[in-house]
Amino acid sequence: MCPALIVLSTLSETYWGLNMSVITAINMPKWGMEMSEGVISVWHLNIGDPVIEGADLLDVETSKIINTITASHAGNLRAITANPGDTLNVGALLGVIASNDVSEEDIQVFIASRSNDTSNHATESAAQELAPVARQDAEAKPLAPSSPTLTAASTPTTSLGSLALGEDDSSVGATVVARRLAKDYGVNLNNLNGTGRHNRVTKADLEQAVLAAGGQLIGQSDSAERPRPAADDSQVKATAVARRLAKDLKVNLLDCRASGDRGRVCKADVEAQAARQQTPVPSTTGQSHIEPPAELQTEIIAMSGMRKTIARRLQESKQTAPHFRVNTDVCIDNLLATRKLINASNRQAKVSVNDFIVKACASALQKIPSMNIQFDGENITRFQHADISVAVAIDEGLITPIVKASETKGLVALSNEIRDLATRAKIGRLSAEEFQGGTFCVSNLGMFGVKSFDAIINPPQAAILAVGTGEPCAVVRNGELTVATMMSLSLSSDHRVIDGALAAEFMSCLKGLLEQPATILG
Amino acid sequence: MTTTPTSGTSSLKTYREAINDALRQEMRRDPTVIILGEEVSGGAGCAGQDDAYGGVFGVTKGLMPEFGRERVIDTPISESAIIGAAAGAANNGLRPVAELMFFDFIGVCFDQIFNQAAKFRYMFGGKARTPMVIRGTVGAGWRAGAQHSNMLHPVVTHIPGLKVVMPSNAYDAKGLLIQAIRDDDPVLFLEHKIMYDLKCEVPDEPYTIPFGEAAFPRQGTDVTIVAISNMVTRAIEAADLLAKEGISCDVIDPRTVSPLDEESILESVEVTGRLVIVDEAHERCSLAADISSIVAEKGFSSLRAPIRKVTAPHAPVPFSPVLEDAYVPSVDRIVNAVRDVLGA
Amino acid sequence: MPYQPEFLLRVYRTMKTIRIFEERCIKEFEGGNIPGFVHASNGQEAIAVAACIDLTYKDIIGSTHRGHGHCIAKGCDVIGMMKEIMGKATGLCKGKGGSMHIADFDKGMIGANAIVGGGPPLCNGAALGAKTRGTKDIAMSFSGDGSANQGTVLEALNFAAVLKLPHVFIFENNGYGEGTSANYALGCDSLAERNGAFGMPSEYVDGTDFFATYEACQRAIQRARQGEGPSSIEAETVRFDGHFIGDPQLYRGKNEIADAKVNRDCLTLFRNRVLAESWLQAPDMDAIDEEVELLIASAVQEGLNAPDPDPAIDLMADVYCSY
Repeated sequence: MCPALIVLSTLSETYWGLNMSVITAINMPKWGMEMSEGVISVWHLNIGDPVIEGADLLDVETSKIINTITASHAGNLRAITANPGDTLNVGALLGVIASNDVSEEDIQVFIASRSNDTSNHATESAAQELAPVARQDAEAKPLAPSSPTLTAASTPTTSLGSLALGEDDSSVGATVVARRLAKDYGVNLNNLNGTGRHNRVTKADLEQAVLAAGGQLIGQSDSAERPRPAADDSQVKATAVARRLAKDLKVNLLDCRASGDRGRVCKADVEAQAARQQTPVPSTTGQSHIEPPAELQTEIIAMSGMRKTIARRLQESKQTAPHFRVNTDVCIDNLLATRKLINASNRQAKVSVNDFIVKACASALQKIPSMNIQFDGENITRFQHADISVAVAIDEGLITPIVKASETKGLVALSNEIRDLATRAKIGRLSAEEFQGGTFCVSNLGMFGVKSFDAIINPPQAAILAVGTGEPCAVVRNGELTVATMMSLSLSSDHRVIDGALAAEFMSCLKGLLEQPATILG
Repeated sequence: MTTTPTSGTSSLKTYREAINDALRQEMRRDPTVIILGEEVSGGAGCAGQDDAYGGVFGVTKGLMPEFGRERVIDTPISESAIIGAAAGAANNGLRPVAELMFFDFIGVCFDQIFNQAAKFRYMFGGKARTPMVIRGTVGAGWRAGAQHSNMLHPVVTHIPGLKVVMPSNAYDAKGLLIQAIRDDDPVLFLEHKIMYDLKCEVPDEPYTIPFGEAAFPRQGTDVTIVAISNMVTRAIEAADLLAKEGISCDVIDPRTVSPLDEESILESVEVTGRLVIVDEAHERCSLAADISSIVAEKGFSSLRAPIRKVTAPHAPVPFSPVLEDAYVPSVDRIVNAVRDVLGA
Repeated sequence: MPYQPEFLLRVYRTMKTIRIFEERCIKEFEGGNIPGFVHASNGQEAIAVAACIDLTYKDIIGSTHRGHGHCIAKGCDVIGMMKEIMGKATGLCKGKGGSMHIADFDKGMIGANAIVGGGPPLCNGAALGAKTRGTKDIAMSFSGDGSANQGTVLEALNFAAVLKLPHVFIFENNGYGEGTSANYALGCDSLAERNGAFGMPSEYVDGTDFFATYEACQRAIQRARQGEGPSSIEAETVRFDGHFIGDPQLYRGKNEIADAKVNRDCLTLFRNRVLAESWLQAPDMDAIDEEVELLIASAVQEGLNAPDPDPAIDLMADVYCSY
């Protein structure tokens, strides 16, 4: 909350403290522990009226009482921000007292500074409604539209027919999960005996009945991943796990740091010492089926959800889309000069080489719309806007946020948007529509000094551009040997829908744009 | 078991009003129901207005004028005497509803609760009945400091013989309180002070909600979130945010933590394979720890990821608003825990 | 003259500091600068000052939820207190305690207490410490008329009498346990008489009269220092504000507070007495009024400017000495 006493910045600090020209907020008071809001009933003063300390300002009605707010400071009533009948939260601004030598502008600035104060929006927050949680046996709520429905392999089979019939079963006692599943199985709960608390029908009751009627159970969960056995065992203060691990890794605990709780050697300390002794520590890649030598420790790393998705999608892409590649080298001296100019002249700008490439791809996709497509294996969808995915490496893997309608955006705006997307990608704050879809993808490993590489197409897209680093090279220009900063581009395309000539035309166009960057700035 | 309202009229009521409604209707129905506690009316022996407080949070407001000081009893500040009197009266024909203004005050009367009321029936070979309710306010968020902000439900949930009810909304509050008053065992009815102004549609007629049956305020199949009391609101908010990303959550509100609807929790985990538990109490020996152990023991084969607990830290409740806000489990922490168990 | 002017000026300054401190707390709370809830002790200043003015920092006091006055009278820094009440990192308890949990062990103040009746048993322990170590230090607990009925307090009275502890029990009877009349909640006619039945000297005084209260406290403190065991003092007083700031106080009689402010204001009574006896001159006290106003104003400003605690560091700090 805002301090009630705002000292104007123009006043010197020495004025502070005694009754000087200050702006005083009249706030909704808190009368009683349960008071959360109050209703303005009547103002006793009008705007402009002089206020003496202790004067009655206005009456406020709460669920319990009507009470009068009195002035805590003298001055003039300069503003009224809440009118009779308004309901406001405790702490909300009701009006402003200040002497007449405070300018109207300062009053307005003060009010504005309070206006985004959430406490002012009384009714929304105070009357915040919690959806009633209905008794689950009376009305189970439908699944949220976004939630995946259970497998439909469960449409009632003839064998379950006997269980399907019956009267309205909404008043039969059942657990929420059992009721949900009964719907999926097409089972009427009247046909089941409940063995749960208060004789509710449980999931087990339902499944038993389904099996007895010759039906099959649906959606059996994946077999649980078993917790892996912990690694193991001396005399230094150490945790039991560290001691066990040290024995296995042949590490002497005396050689370990003791960074653990209460000065003990912990597991991480043993692993660090093992690495120093070059005792191989669990490697993360499941590279081979060769049995590791007995003293080697390996660790099985569970695939994260994201890892699994990346694995599935890229394997599918590589196996189903016939990839072919078109390479070219681009001189980026002009581009670098232009970039320097932009970044120097505009303090808001921090344009990168990659931003130029995305911008150039946007232009090229507009000029060659046959490249601006998605392909689902059957249909080619051509798009008006160039929605360009930009690959961002994150701790868990890789994500491709999309710059939508990138051809419509200026370079600086585009640059800022890419930075925002990348930042949010790294902290896991992207929404699904921000990384799903896209008509083309740019993947840049230039910052790692990679000269060139090939990329795998990110379905349903049909092409991806792989960008290497820019480095000074000897080139022949007009018959003369000279030095230029060159960058390698490699375009992977899906040959089912993009032919060689089209890919070549696109790369030629892109090369032209990047070498004459003025053409993309317009 | 459940008595359902028949007339169908209902209105938007706050959590506070729903509790007041339940007390009033039960006191009208049953003359043996009495209320006792500090300031439950307020103004006793004073020159000014009677019923000046109606409970320090205004929950029992208006009851003394209707039922008189004989049935709505302002007591001295003597918690042991209040709870002891309620337990003794419950053994002798009354159905007392005692109020602990802040549940933190069980510190001064715990013997009367855990060594006396809780044990009568068992210790006396099934002869005793102790139909009493102890209402108390719990939880942080009020800037009320270390001695007025605890979540002590784990302490009482641990004790056999006590029932522990923690409604998360006005609808449940009314139905559960009526059930609590009609119940023949000692019931601790814990109200989170942050929720008193939350409104929802509540039937005007009396109705009961059976103990030990969880509610599912959101349904889904990817992750099970079990939350209680005020944390239900936050779990719902988290689930709605996650739904936008295509992650669907079963949000389970056990409503009563003793008895606990283990069945519903285990069944949900069978479907989702993943469990996040949100509890405003400290993590050690908490309800979160309890549910975690139940699922680890009885639902181990369903689990596809380690169970995650989102709780307050192992520290007393701090006074400073910035610290208190960091103390109470937030929607962000719930969302992150869900992403965590999904490996996303 | 029975009292030195320096002493009287110190008394006046301390009482005035409490008064202005509480009045500013009310203002700042209503303005939203103080979180939580706060119990103000304005009206009751004379007792806190009379009881604590001659104590050393080695003497221990234990206070209540209405503890600002006791803290100030025992010498706690008002700026540190204001920062604490505002929840700031540089407050007396690093912003973790708040109004109901101010403590300053260097000054012999072992804590305000949010649990009614929490303090007296603890002060028995402080008194036992002094007695066992053979010092002449004493302990003093403050209780209200409300906590007089708490089991812990009644147990503590008997315990102190049995062990002959150097413990002065002060009962501030302001007429109200929260919103309930003391006359209703006390089953006996006289609290002082009831406390006497525990086997210790027990007095009643008018707590709005600084001098009467001071003299009663002197007698009790002397007994404690000389190893003669505990005493009890019931001091009747007036609570000018509600149970907590913002309490609409519908239970109080019409004009009750206004009358009390005119007729039973301990500060006014003190001022009138010292002027009537010509012990002090008005300008000396006026000068103190001004200084105190400035002091409290600067405490508020410092409180507002002070930094919040850092959750990353402070949330988990000081749960244990070692763990």
